[in-house]
Amino acid sequence: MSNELQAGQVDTSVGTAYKVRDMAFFYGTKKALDSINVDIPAKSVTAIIGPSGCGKSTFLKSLNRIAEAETKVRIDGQIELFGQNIYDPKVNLTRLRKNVGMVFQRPNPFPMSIFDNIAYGPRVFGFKGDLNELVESSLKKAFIWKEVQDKLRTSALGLSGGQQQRICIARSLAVNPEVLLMDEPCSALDPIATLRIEELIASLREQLTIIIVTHNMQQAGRVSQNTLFFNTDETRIGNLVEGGPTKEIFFSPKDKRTEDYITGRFG
Amino acid sequence: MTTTIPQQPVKEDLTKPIETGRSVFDSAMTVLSIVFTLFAIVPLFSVLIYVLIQGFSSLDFDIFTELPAPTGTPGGGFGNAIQGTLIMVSFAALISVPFGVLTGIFLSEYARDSQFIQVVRFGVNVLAGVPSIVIGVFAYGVVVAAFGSFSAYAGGFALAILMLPIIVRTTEEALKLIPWELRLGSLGLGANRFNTIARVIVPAAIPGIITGVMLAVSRAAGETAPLLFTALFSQYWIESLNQPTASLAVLIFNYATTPYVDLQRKAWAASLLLLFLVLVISIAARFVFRRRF
Amino acid sequence: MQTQPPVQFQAKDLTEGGGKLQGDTLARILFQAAAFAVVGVLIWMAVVIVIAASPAITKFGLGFLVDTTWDPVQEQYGGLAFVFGTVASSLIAMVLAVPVGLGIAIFLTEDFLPEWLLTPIAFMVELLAAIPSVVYGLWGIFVMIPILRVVETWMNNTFGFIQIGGKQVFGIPYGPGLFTAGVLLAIMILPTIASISRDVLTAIPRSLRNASLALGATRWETIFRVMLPAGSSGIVGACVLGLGRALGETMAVTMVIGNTPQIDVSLFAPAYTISALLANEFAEANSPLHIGSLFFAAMLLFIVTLLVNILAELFVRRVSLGRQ
Repeated sequence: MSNELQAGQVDTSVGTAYKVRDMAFFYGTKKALDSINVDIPAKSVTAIIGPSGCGKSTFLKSLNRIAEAETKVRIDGQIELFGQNIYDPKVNLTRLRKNVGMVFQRPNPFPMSIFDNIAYGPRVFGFKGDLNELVESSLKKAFIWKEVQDKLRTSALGLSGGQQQRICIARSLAVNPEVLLMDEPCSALDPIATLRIEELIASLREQLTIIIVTHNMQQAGRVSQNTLFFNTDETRIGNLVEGGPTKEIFFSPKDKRTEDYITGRFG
Repeated sequence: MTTTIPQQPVKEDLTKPIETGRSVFDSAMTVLSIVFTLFAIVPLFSVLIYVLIQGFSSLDFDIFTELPAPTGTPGGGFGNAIQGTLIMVSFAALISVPFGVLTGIFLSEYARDSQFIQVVRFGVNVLAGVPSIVIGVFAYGVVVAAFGSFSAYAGGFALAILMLPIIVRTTEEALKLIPWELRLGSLGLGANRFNTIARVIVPAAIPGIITGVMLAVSRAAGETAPLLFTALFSQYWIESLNQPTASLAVLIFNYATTPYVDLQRKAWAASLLLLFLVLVISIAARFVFRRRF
Repeated sequence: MQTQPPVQFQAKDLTEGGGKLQGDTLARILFQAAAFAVVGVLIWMAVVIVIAASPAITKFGLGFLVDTTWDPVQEQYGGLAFVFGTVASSLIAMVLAVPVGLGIAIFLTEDFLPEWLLTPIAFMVELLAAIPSVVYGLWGIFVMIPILRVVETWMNNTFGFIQIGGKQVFGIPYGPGLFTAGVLLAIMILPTIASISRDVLTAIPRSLRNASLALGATRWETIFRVMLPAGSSGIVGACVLGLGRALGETMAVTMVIGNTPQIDVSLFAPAYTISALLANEFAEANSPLHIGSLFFAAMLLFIVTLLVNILAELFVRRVSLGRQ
């Protein structure tokens, strides 16, 4: 290993969460991602940027294997999470997804009360402790406790979009995941709600590994320590162009394509 | 990287299975839902196979041309029932199609959000849910009571009401399948709404509307309950629409409940004819609308 | 306005303002009249049935509902046995068809099957609804009853000890009877419940399911805790529609229920429904009171199915509004 950070190599001095090797992704027979090699650091925020259709969401969805819940997919290569191959046939999907939470593009609270939304995961896993306490602490972690503490029994659908998204984050935190995947979590929100989510991400950084897909480069710059840039070539297959500490990607990208994208010269 | 940092293993072993209760529940429910689906498909195939086998073995040419033989004597056919069904269903379509198609156009093409439209749509749905026997009772109260006898008119009237909601819904659906741009294109040329409907939208939707009418016809042909005490039954060819009239559906009912094997065989043959009509048209409608009615 | 037929009017001149307006208005009135007629039929129906039932209503009043005597010779009519048969056979059908129908709906929506297998199976379930009632009846008499007799005999031997007031709940099987009618009704309302519930489940945003899976819930935990509660209103609507069908279903029931106006503890005993009563007696009724009583029974059926269908409509409408 060299001292220098190579393309696709990010600063993992804090430890490695995901280790991705020669990963290729197929929707049916159509290849969507090819030869992805990257380490994703633990206990920090990694942003994934790139033009639409570059496979950044697909990559994210392969990290908790939710992609295969939607359509028929195939994955070649290896993805390890803390040293465990998550595509090992013996892996229990339920357990994997409990450890890898996900926040989606549009807020998707369940059509039930705020309390029941947060308590959903713990209940599924037969949580034995004090549910009230767990719900409260999860809501506090997600910076939404003050706004909803008086209406825990009302429907989560009555909240604003930004509040709903924080409820969804709290819902994920309630099962105490190691990793939190965020798929453009602010794309449906207004600037103020976006700011709240970004503050929230910053505060969670110490506790868990966050991987966030965003089309907003300023956001990537604000919240992340490392950034991965995905792109497609003329074959429409996504690949990882370059990855590294966010500052380097933004101020001294090694690849011309990254530079073009960052500076807005991208088609 | 010069310094190798020991990887922090995830606190949980990902291959550790979930609680037995949870996984057993999951598998058990999957098996249960497969069994349930088989439950539904077995009767369908059973009905189809029995009607096919029994029906074909009982089918012969006389059935279409002969009158029913006197009870107890073999042979004969039910040409008059086929004739009666055709006549009554045609009569029903004659009443039902204009009202149904116009209402369908109204629902699809005029102010979709108005209060009246809501009432009409509600009414159509409720009418579709009225039991066919009650429609028969209504036809009895209106036509049989007025004419003082059972008649093809009464049967046709009952069938017309039965067909009405189906025609309204399929017409509305057929019109909705026409792209919105076509309407804009016509209105944009200065045509008014009626012109747009009459010259552009309805012609484009004709295949769908005809399929809908056929669907209604096939359902009406299979209906028995509203004919039992409106058209009644008859052993003879039709001479006037103002007298009791035979139909395939009532024939099946009458013959199925007799102890004579020969008549039971005729019931199977009549079922085959009805089922063939209904299934062919339902499958065709499925391809036109891509949804059910 | 009346002198000129509207179609000709427009065909001649598309650009003439006044002409366009008149033709358009006439057309609109025509469409509206047709729509009004369709709704009017419902009102007409109610009026005709109530008027025809009035002799029986004035004679028996609400007592009709609690009297089990149906005696055309003595001109004494009570509808309780028929109400019982109608309600009981429909309830048996619901108990069987709701879980099975829901199971099918779930099986056809929750990614259990590949697309090429899913479409034909879903279509086959829907075809069950297209088979004429009288054909089900025919099949019921010659195919289903012999099979059910075996099942009923076994149940009689095994569960015969369950008794109410000294009478077996799973009594001696006759062949035709309440349970037989219930099973056949269940088969007939299955497509209604399964297809509409399937539509409801399909309409629930995929993101809800993914959110649950992403939290580590299993497939069936997701179905029971998220999908079914989210679709509950529409699913209830589907079941209520199925109930409406079962209550009014005539031919198949008439052919397999045994047509005996009695209220028996045994599920296997013959019974009678309102619809079967109408099917069997209407054509032969002569006395005004007999006909009036039949109309009275029809009115009860009409009112009940009307209420049930309005209820279903409200439930299903809530779903479609929620979707917008």
